[in-house]
Amino acid sequence: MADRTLEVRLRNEDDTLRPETLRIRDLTEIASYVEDAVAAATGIRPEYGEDTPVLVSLTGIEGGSARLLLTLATSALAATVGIKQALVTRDYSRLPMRCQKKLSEMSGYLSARGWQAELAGVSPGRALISAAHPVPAPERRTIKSVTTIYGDCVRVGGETPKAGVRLVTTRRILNIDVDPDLARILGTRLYDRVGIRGTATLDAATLEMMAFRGEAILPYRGKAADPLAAVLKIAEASAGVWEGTDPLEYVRQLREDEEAS
Amino acid sequence: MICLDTNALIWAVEFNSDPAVSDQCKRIRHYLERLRDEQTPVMIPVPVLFEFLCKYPRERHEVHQAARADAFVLFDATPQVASEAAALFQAGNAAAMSSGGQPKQQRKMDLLVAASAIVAGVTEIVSEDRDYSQMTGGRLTWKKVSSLPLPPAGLFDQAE
Repeated sequence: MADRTLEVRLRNEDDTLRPETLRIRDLTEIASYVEDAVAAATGIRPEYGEDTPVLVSLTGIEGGSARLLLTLATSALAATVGIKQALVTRDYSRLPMRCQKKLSEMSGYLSARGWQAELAGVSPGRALISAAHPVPAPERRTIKSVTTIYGDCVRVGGETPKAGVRLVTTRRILNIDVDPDLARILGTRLYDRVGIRGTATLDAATLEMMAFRGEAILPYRGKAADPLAAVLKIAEASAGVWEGTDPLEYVRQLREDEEAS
Repeated sequence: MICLDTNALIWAVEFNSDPAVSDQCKRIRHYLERLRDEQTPVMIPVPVLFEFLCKYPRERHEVHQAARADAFVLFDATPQVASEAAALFQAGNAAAMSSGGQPKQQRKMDLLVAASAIVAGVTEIVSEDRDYSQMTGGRLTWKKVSSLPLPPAGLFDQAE
């Protein structure tokens, strides 16, 4: 069975850190950085209405410096191995930007206190975050892409208009830039699901969406969308088109033609 | 969010007197009715739309656009989709080689449909004959049209 315990050993220069010399807040802060970094690296997204799954739990605090024992969900193991590998090789290019950002914040938190953290378990070897081995903030190499987003409009307004859209793709709220006209339209669609066309700024390494400028609202009717009515309408306008067509054979021919070419 | 593969979309718009086909039409329509009532968004990937429109002359594409656009989630083919599809392709080849075989002859269109669904945040894809669950290492749940329940007698009988 895979090793699911990640040990985070905290040390200072004269090795005087012990659980009893640390504030609870510092321990929870460091555990939270690890939890956030792992969550960002897994890319696991809870369904609407579902709780965020427990990926990392604090299951022990031991002496011998100060050692946090974190137990990982099976679904978080591969992501954690990736994080350790990135820390060891100092190559963060394969980590999502949000994950590196959390590790970088943790690195800053530790350095400000003169501490270091050594990560062990889950995979062979140890990874170190310290003043001599800091995690840099992610570089913001970006690309632009014209695209469409769908999500629930949860807020809109401001002198420089912005809207908050909880994306159907990631379930995260993305704050988007909009012009006043689009803001007014979105104001009438608050708490409804909307489709918006615009220009996305993507992280070049991970293609994660960092920003979005909304340009037009799509005709998608959100929570009032009626896919059944739509297919019946298309059916009405398709009289005879599909007659005698076996859908399985039709698709098979299209996709197998592609293989033959 | 739920995704429709091409065969499911065709059955949804088809009228056919063959009882076996008619049942598939009824099943998918009944399912769409349930998704509407639950306010579950339904997505049609670009490759599915492409295959569907291949049957219509260009001048009729626009006719269906309005009906689709207000009822379905229609994402673009983006760099993320290309990246995800390439990763699925590589994973498929790696799996074939690790079990002692040759790189697989994979249907690229299947991979593009799967990648579009994954990037869109889809949890379940409805297709009669493509095992998207296996193709994506379990990241998508595959539901067969023939596994969907039939509606109560009387509903959608115009399909007969």
